[in-house]
Amino acid sequence: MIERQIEVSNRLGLHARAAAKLVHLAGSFESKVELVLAGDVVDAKSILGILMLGAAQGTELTLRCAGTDEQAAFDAITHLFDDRFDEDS
Amino acid sequence: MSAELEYVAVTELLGEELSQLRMKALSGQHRLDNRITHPRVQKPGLAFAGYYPYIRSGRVQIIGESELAYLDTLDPEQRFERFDRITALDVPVFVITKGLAPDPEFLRLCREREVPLLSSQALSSVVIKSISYFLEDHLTPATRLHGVMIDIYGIGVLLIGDSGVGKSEVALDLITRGHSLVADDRVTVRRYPSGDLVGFSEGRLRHHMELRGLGIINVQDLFGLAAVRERKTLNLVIELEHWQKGRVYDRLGLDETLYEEILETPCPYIRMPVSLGRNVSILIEIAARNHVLKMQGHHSAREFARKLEEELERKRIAQ
Repeated sequence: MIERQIEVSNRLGLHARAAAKLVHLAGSFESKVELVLAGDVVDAKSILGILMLGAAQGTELTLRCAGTDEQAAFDAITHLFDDRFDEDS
Repeated sequence: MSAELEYVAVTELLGEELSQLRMKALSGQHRLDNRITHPRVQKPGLAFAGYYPYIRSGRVQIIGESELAYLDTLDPEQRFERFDRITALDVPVFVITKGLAPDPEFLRLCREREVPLLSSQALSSVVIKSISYFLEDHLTPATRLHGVMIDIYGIGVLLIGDSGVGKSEVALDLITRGHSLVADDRVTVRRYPSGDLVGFSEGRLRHHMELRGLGIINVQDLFGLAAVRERKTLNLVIELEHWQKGRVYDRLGLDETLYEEILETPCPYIRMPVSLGRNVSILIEIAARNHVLKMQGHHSAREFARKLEEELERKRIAQ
């Protein structure tokens, strides 16, 4: 299992379209992918779970990946956050 | 899916749909396959007065009391000349109303030239209205689609998808939940001048369904009158397909509605994955409900996204 802090850095935060991108990406891996915020653990493959977090810009989240392709999943999702969901220019 | 060039054969005017006009053929019995191609009827008054250019081929010509009264004022030679001219034009059929007797000369010419002349017992106004309505219904651009059409909460939903995906079973489920069947397997869709697409079932198949393992069933006999409809405006097309791994399905419903072109008319379209354990009929019912909301200007997904964005903006930690 890999677990590390990541930051929501895009301007709009984890809004609906960003969440959809994340769910789609997480869904492409076999591993279990979870996000943790203030004790709330949500499945990153569930869109409503992510939207429930209401994570605005600047929020620190814990990303947790566990499974056969956990490293690939972790890298890809970290990359998506770092790239600000391809939103901010 | 292509529009077909439509026509109505004269003999169809003598069918059951127009039986209230009580029409019979006085001449041209061998030419009842003449084609009517125009939905609007004409009254040939001006032609009887000697002005012919506006007699269009493919249009039904209706002769009433006023035409006959006018013809009575002409001298016999003139009258014969008019009859001679008008029966030589490319008229698919004349209809004489109110059970009036046609002029013997006119009837003779119609018989000689094998021009169908029908006699109706009904008043001109009724004949014009009924035939126009009948023709408008039968002469609109039409296409036949493979699918099932159901009326769900007043929304006309066409289910399409590969054979075996379970369209009929889903439709049956919807019927047991109180919705009405419009057509199973083959749906005739017509485009009206208003731009509306309307779905119909074909005569013999009407109210019937085919279910694997059970065969052909009559939905009206099994479920009653409320379970079937003759026609319904088409509002939504839903394509059922087997769940494909890796395929991206809409998760948010935020994007603009997709459209499927039918008879060059765009119709809102949803692609719905089917898999074991998904109750597809309930999903379709929800899609219909959601479509009603959208038409009324309530967009659930967008409202949700907007509220979330406002919240995220408030909570944002500026960088």
